[in-house]
Amino acid sequence: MEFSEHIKTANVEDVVLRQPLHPPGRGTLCITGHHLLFSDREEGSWRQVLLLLRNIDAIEKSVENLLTCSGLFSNAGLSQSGVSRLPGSSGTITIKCKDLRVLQLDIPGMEECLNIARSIETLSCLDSMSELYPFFYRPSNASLRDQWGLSSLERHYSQMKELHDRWRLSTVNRDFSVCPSYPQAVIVPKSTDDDMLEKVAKFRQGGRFPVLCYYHKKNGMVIMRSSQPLTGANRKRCREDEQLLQAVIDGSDKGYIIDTRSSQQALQARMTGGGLESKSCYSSWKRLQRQMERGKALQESLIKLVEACGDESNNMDRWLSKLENSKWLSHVQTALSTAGLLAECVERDGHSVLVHGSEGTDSTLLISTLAQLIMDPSCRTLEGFLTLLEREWVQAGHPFQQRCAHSAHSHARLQQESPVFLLLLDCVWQLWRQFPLALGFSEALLLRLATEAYASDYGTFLGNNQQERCALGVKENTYCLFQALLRPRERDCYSNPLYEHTELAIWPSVHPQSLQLWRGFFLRWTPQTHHLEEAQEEIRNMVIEWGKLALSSCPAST
Amino acid sequence: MSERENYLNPFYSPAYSKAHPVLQPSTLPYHFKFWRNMYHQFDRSMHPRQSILKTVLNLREEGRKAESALQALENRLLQLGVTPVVTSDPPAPPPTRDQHCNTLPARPDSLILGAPINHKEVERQEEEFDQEEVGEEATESTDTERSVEGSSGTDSRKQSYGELDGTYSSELAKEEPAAVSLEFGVARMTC
Repeated sequence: MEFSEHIKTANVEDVVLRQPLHPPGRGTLCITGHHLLFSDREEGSWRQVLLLLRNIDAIEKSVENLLTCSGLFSNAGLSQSGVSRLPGSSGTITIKCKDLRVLQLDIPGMEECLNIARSIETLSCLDSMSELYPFFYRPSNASLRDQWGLSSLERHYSQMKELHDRWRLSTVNRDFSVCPSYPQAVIVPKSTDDDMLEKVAKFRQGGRFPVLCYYHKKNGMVIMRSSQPLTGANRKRCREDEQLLQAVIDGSDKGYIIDTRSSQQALQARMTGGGLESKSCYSSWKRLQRQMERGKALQESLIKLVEACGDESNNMDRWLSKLENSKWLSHVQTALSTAGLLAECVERDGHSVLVHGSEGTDSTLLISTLAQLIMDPSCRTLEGFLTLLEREWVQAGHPFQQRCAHSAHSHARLQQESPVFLLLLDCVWQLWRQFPLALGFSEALLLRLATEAYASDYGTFLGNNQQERCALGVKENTYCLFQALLRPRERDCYSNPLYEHTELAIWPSVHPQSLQLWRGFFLRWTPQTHHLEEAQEEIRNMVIEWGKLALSSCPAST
Repeated sequence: MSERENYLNPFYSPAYSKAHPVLQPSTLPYHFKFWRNMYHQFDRSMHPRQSILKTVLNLREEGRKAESALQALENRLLQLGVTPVVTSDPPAPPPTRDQHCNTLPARPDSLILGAPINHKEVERQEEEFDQEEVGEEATESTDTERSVEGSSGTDSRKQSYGELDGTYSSELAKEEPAAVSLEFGVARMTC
């Protein structure tokens, strides 16, 4: 498919661009297969705005045909900002992006305006993944043969010597036939062989059998994750599944199962073939039900929140009631609270835990990631955090393509969209606010990741699982986001100069008063937050300066 | 004198006041924040357990000391008749933060993480442990930000995330402060 088929008008002169936090500018607009490019040549300064078409959630167009009334309206063509619109037909395209920016383009010429709008509409939601920009992006300072990804499960396993005693690396899924959404290698108890794993995979939704995701060095307890057991209405059981779980808590008296559904949802799941682990078959396991919202409800929550942030009325009561109705902060609270419970079971209570919801690809990954941040200091450095995300989200099969197809502004009919990854980043931000010295990365990293998940130059978040990425040749034909973020110039901006390593766990407070709206993301494009950004930049610079000074005089003082 | 230090803002810059003679605070509704430090002054479990302000103040103090040490050494070198060589890189590999801090005064209490504050409070929290958990709290407080803005006082309770059958014993609870004090040397148990 040729991109040029969709572009009837490629260049338009004399376009006015209005974007948040900048004065309006007049220049040339170009549309390519993947980008909108606006060049502003006024006042001697050259300003370029490059927008990835994939970042566009929705557009609205309005066309005015002033040809017949040019005499009457030639003065009324002056808009508030003093940039005059030429009399004649023109159109306005309002672009709402997935990173919550809203841009406005005033395009002279009705036909050009409609052509551009149509091109944007088609090119911003391309179906085929191999046509997306990461396959075309070629930065000058990197090579396709560079290392892709930060680590693999094989390397993770070989580095963790404590695992070699009772756990093994299984490649039963090397051709993705056992579980299409798992990676090719998984960590399972030594006593379970590959045949058993195949049988267990048939008993779990989507083939997501229980695998190890975290080993707690302090007490040898583990976190396993899976999807729901397919007991169905007939109360089927699977001996291999029970044996696998028994092998997990071998040596300990019991284990916990954290089910991210309410008891009612779990019981109802039986009607559609799913279910839960019954007490009779899994007697050594205690089940804790913690309902976590996911799917459409979470997407609607995001939509309401973004709508509240965009409300122009500046009325305090309306703001507070809209915020409350969105329930976004209660989802943040539930996520942190359940993750805290998970960490409590492992660290304070000293027992292994199995986590699952229904599909095991959303809230399961959310709380396993947060619990590891709470308990494991090595996940809190910049590299550690990116490796954690790579392992627990990218490799573990979170369906990014489906979940991040559209964000809050989209008019399209929602299918599988859900801002679970955004919720994770919000929860990490809450952790960072409560423990500003304990995380080695800054808020800038979280904001960057929030944008990249929805629209990216890199191939890291493409596709829904490792199988799709292998089929498309993502490793060979695109660049890796995580490697790019760790390059020397970039990583300065993403690391936290106040970071201090500590071996302790960080227990977040989940009192409502301790949680705040993530203004860095949701209010990113409002003018006033700039003062706060300036202050934060000031703090960063101060800390870096003093840090350097103190370090450089330390040998002198000894 | 030290009292005054407590009330100063280290980020205050007179140059900023010259550049912005009139402050223009935003009155947009989402810029108003709940003043938690005021209304929950005594609810220790709610406060951020690490304070940027204290760290920055300490760094500034260390920076000052380092500068004066540097100055003294340069003067000494001049006295000895050696011109000091100014290098931008430290001659030795920079020590880790831990080593670095061993040569400096004990870390402030702001870096205590997640531990209950003192024994009295630990005992009080154990009594409250069997009471209402946070899991229920989430469904109870249907208003989230509203309860933040117009808060009703909640008493400080141990941050527990759910019921765990009381296997979390009192010994474990008492151990935590001890573990923290061993890590951080002299650690004052106030927040």
